[in-house]
Amino acid sequence: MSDSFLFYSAERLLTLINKHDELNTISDVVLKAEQELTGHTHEEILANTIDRLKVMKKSREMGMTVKSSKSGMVKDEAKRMSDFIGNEKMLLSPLMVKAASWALSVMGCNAVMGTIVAAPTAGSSGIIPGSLLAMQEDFGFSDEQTARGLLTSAGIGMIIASISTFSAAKAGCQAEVGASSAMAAAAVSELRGMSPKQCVHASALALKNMLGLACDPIAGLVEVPCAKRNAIGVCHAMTASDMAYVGIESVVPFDEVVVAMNNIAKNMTPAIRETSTGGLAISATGKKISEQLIQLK
Amino acid sequence: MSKVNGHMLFLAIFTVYSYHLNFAMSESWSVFDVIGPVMVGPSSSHTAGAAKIGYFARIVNGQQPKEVKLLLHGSFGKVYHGHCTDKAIIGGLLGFLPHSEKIRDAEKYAEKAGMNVEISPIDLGDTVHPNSVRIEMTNADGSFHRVRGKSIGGGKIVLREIDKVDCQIDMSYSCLLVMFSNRSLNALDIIERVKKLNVHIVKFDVGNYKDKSLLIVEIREHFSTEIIHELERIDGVDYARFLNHISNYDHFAT
Repeated sequence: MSDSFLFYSAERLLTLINKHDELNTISDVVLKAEQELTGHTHEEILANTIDRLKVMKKSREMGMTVKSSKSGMVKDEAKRMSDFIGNEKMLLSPLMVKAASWALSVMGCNAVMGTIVAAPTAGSSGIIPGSLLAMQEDFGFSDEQTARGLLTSAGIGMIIASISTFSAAKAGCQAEVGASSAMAAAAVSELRGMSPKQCVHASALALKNMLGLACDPIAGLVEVPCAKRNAIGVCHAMTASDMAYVGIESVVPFDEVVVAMNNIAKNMTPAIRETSTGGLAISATGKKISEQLIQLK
Repeated sequence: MSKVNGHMLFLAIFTVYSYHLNFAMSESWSVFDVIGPVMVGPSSSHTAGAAKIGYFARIVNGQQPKEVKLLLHGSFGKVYHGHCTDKAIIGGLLGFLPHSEKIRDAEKYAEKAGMNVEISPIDLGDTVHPNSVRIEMTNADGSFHRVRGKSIGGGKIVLREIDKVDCQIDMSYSCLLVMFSNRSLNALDIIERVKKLNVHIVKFDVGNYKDKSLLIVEIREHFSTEIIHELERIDGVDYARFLNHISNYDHFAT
């Protein structure tokens, strides 16, 4: 009986690559798995992936024009940061300043009810576009090559969704920015030509360092701390990728990190799981902003 | 007698077999469930997922409802204003999908359509997912339907209760629903009719609430409205509905 290409763990994913000569990258497996699941051809899957990439580009472009969200908690941070791309005063590389500002841009678009691609969620929708689109521009990747990165990010995401969740109401922001950062870490790693094993280590490092992340949005809006978290999430993913690049490995394998995420979720009270009744949401500033917004209504 | 037993055995084996085959599939995420949906912000669970629940609730209702009560449980009930959950569910009830820009003005469209909406938080207990909504719909003719769904993250939803019958419909496939009176009808009778329609049955399930049962058949194809009406003509059937799977393979970047 022939192998199924569906995978629910990084272990299975890497096993499939080892076992099949024609599977060399995570995106190779994801294409096969998607074909098996949906019956669509590789060409259709790639075309659809490129479509999503194009929507992400539009979100990023739109976000640069945002002056302020209705609440005022998100302003023109994206534009402000993008003005410093290539500025020698920045500590981050120009690539990372670009990627972070573009992540902010997508989140600005999201905050004003613009059209975005949830990746995997709207609250984390800036990290993957920020990272991949910046890399595409700076390294000159084609849409097809960049789409491969998107497929790899989906592969890591599928594992997180299978073992754990994308729901911040269940697992806090581990499930959103944590997941997205882990997905982006693998995606940029594959684009850099790193091995599947290294890509998975990058994901493990990224996710590990987002464990316990609270979801405590001020006034229940997807703005503070969400938007800026996406900017830092991009840098987080790229740091993890660089560490894996030089051969640093996660002591705890990726699948176990996801299980740890579940355990930590169980230990998180509802106050920090998307109810806006804990953490930043009830800080002095958080309460003040909530009050002001209630007055406005 | 032996014919009934034979049928029951077939049903038992088929159900177990299909669940075994499909456990993985119903738990599986497509690339475009993860990288997607294409949606109007701000939240994939509280906006996009909420819109989908409203969208399918409308189909269960069979028409656009006149009076709607949205009972928001858990996190849904706490952050619905900022996450535009109310706009999203109302939009869904008007037939808008998560990517529709009309969601931004859903309340205005509802007013135009003569749909009245009441919203309140509700506590359905710890076992219910914190992103859940119970939608109560009353129609002009007095008929009433109630749907509960949960938004599990990334825009994915599961319908958990239809007219008091528990269910687990994740909309990975299109879904035929047949609500019938189990005093006068047997699920197998209805399945026999469905089998004749040459559709690929992925799996099916039967839920019960007192004297009502809900047959849920997940299929790959699309159903025609004639088939729905034909099923509704069976004595003992209250209603039949077709919930269309929302394709991930539409293009949005035009």
